[in-house]
Amino acid sequence: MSGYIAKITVLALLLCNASCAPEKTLTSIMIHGDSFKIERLVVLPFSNKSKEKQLDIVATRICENVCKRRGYQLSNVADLRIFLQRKQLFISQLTEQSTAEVFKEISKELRINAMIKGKILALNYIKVQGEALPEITLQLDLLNAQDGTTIVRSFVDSSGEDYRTVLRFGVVRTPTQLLEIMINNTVENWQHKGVIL
Amino acid sequence: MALFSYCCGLAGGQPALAYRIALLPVADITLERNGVNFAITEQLITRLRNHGFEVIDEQAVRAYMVEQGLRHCGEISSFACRKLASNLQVDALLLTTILGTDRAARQVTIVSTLLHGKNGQAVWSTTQAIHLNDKQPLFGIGATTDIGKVHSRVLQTVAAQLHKQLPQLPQVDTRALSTAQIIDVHISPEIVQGGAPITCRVKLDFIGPAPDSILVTSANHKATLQRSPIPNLYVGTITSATSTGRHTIDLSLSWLSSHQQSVDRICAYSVANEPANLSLDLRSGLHIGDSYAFRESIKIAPKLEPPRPVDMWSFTVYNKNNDKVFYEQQFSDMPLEMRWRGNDNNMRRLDNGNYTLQFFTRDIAGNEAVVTSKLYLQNTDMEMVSIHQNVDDGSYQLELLPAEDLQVPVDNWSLTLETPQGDIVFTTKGYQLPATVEIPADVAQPGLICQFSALDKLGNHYDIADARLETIDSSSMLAQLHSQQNWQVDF
Repeated sequence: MSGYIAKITVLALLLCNASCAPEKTLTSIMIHGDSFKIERLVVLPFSNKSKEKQLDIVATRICENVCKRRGYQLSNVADLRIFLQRKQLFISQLTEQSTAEVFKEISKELRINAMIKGKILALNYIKVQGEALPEITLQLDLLNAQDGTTIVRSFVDSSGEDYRTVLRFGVVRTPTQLLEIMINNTVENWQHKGVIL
Repeated sequence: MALFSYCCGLAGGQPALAYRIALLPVADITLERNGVNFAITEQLITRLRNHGFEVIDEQAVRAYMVEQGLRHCGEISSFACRKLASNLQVDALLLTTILGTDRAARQVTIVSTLLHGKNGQAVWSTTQAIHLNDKQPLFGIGATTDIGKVHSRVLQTVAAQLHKQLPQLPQVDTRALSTAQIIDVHISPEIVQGGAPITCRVKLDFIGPAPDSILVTSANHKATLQRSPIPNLYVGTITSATSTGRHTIDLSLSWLSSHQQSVDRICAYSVANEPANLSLDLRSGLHIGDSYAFRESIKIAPKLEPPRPVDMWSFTVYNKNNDKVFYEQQFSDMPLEMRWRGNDNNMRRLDNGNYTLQFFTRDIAGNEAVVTSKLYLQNTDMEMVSIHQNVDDGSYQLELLPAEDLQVPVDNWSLTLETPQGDIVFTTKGYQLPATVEIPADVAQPGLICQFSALDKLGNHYDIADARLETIDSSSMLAQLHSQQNWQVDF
């Protein structure tokens, strides 16, 4: 009987551990030395270098959800599109071609002080125990909306297998689930390191 | 299955208070970025209604989207959301995006966001991502293989979560929100001379009635915008400021019965009372004194500093008698670079000689600028050298002098003396003219044939092939004009 209880206890501990996913190493480049207080932000549409062409749309929405869940106020990206339409700019041109003056106007118009820009650099599927699990490389930038400068940049590389705890538990099988975890961990990492408040 | 959701409304557990929802057609991005899935939309409406929400008819939403030109189902601006909520009399708008609806799909992702109808901001959202393998039973017995069943389960979850997590909409402060939105602003021209008229076209959208008066102001000048035949487009003409520099235009909307609203700096224009500095960058030739020499063609890159849009430009070439030999005019922006091949308007090559190039521009404000440049054209062979021989105390010299009318410097030359039988007895080379060549006494003899070859800095060649040294004991001209076999390098 005691052996049976011990087995149950071990199994329960392992299952409990399933929710505590292993941390992947983040490479972050701090541009500004001081902590940045986000008051309100906009998530710019992600760019996508992977073969799953529509993944960037979902990734953008997921990033918005993560930011909201963490208590940040968000501005609507469609409002940004309308503003840029007046300036005859595409969102894709914003971070490459815009001047600090344009960023300042955006910041004032949308009442934001930060922007998040994401890029899905790669998506592959790795075969593990008969299952094809996603492996994603993601770049996430936090920009100062006042002038477009980069506050912090992170590169994250993670696969669904990283979150396996025991047997088939904890495995992340969809790229969208994996993206949510990676984005959440990255933002948490920024907070943990004191980059953002 | 992973379940992520967010709620900034009231905590769950309260009795459901069915608020009125408009559901935009579900954006289905499985196959294309702008796809729509009406079947999933209907399923979601049913699920929401089952949970006590009042969801307005899908047809009404679609008709409104067509009327307002709303093309995207996955996102909507906060102003458009407020307007939709006002016109369709709903409290909130639900946006849903789905990925993974094709039969071969083994995973599905749904992202739903509820926007508050009063301010257009998100108040609730959820992400559902499921893989068929996520719910595999032991040994795979009774495993789900139909993705359609997963869709149904996920939609049920979305509706249940919304019902549980947001039974009531939060109160929002709408006092600071505007009832007008500037969609687009266009002014023409963007650069004017002081006091010139500027046409303003402003596209506006309103929640509720349009304002009774729409004014634009700039530097103490005002103009009223009138409604144009195009919906939501207002047009007017305002007088520009007089001082040179950048000036802004402000917008003022007023509703007689209630309030007014101002928007600063909706756009800007420039007043330019002086022409920009026009200069020409000449290439593929050579600067010689105050002229620019060229052979085959010349590249001309006009430049305005500061850069300014150009309404008209012209390119004129005059010969030394001040006759116009070439002219081109265009009513378009200035080219970055142009090439002139030294011809007239009938495509005939012009003679060698000096010309004057005049480039003229008129910017869109009406300021005129002109710049001239002297050109020297040498596109055929020219004599480059006259060769004299001198005898001085028994030493023999050949003196190489540049031709009288030579303008382009010689780049390099070579001289060879050979016997009538063809044996080369002396050879030398140099890089500039004039030059003096010492001929060794044991080599100098009557009847030697002198061969001379030169290349100028434009690439023109000049050859003397058969000049003979008939006498070597007196100074005389050896060769200048005869037996030239000149040619040009064809680059």
